[in-house]
Amino acid sequence: MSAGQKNRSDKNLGAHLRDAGLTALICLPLAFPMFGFQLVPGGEGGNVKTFGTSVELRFFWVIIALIVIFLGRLLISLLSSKAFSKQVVGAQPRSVNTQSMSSITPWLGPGILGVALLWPWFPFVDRWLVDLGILVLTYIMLGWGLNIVVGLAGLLDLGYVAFYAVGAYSYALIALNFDLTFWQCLPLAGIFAAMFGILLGFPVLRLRGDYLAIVTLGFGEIIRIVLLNWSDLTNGPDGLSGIPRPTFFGLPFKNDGSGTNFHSFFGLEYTSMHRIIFLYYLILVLALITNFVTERIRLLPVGRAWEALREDEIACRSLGINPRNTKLTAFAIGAMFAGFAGSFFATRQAFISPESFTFIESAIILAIVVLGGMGSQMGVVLAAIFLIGMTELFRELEQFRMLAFGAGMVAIMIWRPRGLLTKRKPSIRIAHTVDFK
Amino acid sequence: MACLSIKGLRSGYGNIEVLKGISIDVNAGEIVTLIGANGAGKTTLLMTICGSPRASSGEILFNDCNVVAKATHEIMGLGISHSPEGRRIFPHMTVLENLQLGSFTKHFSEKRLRHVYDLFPVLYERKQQRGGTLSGGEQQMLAIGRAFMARPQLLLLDEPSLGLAPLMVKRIFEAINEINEVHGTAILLVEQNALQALRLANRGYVLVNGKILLAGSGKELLTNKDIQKAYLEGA
Repeated sequence: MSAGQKNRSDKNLGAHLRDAGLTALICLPLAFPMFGFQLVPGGEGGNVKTFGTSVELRFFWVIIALIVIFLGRLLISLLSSKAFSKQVVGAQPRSVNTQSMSSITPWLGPGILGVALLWPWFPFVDRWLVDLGILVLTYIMLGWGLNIVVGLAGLLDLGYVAFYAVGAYSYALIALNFDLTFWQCLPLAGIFAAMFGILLGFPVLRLRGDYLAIVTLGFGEIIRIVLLNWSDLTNGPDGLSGIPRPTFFGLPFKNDGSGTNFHSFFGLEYTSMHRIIFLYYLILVLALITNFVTERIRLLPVGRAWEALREDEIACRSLGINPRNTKLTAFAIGAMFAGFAGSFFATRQAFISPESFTFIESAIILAIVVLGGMGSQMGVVLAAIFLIGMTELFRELEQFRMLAFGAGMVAIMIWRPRGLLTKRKPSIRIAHTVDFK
Repeated sequence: MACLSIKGLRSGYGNIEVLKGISIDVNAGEIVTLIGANGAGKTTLLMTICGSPRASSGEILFNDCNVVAKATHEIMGLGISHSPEGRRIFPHMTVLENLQLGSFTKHFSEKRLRHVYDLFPVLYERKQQRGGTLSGGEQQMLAIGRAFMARPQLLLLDEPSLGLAPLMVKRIFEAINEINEVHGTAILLVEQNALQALRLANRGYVLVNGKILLAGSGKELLTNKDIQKAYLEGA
């Protein structure tokens, strides 16, 4: 136990109070504009008068907010110092903690997969929860795709949503103009997205870290702005509508009485849930394919080269790894999965516009990968469930629901600063290796 | 018969010329050492052989094939292996994965892996451990083992004794000697530890400010007055 730790656990009440007071003081400039003013239509009670409306100053609410923050901070710091002193007394609490974590880990994957497979059939699951499942799975798929680029190859990509957009628009345009089915469009959308991945990859081959992040960020914006302004092709900000819905091996999910539909073929009562559940399983299968392919590629030379490149580029060169091809394959394969996810998004929504592909989407996907634990497939799942699920559960908070998103991120960074699951699985098992002597 | 033959090599970074016309030879199966002070261009020479940075003029003949215009990954596939300065192992990957990446340009051979474990038994004990958790000496062993996995004809070693305890330096040099004697691998060894390096080497070159100042057998250089004064005093 170092002197610094001792000091922390011995911190007296005065220090906690000072800390809490300081936090409240910092919150004052934030709370004042957020809580302090309210526009009252036509009201007379306000101090500042404007055209037809007046601004009411609400000092009371500001004071309430500050008191809540003061007490909250005090509570957190007191609790954490208590917990800390307990940890110091108990022997090796940290390792015990990680042990319990690793004993859950082998069951986590099959468990979540089981729940995911049965999800639409749980009695409490309604249409909204299946929709939520679709959303979470879409982000898991995108997270797994980005994990190839960021987690495995170590290339920080802030414009990943560009490939998602390319996939969605490729699907929509091909389906609308050439009358191809979903299953014919899907690989084409993937190929287009992969081509854009290579297009982005070439100019950034020599860049790393911050510089790479800036260029990819710019790339994401370029794609969005082109989609916004190329009205002849993309219909600009109005977006594309009437994108064909997916069919169940040729059977449409419709109730128009014409031809053979899904429900009439199987002799079922028509409900719109059929389509929703079909979409759910579609994205589940697509996501599982992404995971399977990624796990397999990790064991191939190119997968090892990705991970080696993340760790040390100079060492890679000295081992005869071609960094150019390695980076381009990472960009292309990562982009391809985003393209698949994009096609799914387009067919699910039946309407796409550049609005859906803003920077915040890239940021959310990156947050999922980083908070999950870079390179960890299971971590992506947990982070996506946590972040997307939480944001949706707090939907009723309306504009404040991003606070829940932020709180989730802060919570993960406090308790698991290197991501939810940080343990890297070796790509070679012991059984595969020679025994000595 | 020269395995590596360098003639009039000039190279550098941008406008700064580091190597000002270097000519050296490494024959098949011999250990050649390159000694010199900081900034003399030792590391640059090894890096230029690997094609990064590119030579601005001169020839690098490896088995009578000029490799100056080739890309780094092509050169490494020809039978040259490089253990870079500062070890540069992959810290988050296991020892075994590090070694396996060493044979990236060739087929992974379990026989070769066994040779590496024979050279450095400690790597076998730690095969499932992450590279970053090894001690400095073990990391150096891993770096040499990884370079050796590619079955090279010529092994370039950049300061393998850097930052190691004297006992560990001795073991590393023993292993280098064994690689050379048992496997017949030619070795170009860059060292600041001139005394040990010259004792081990068949021949040596002294590099000063990007030029070869002296060349000779290891013994000749060890007894040379100027060298003793400049590099061996206090050693």
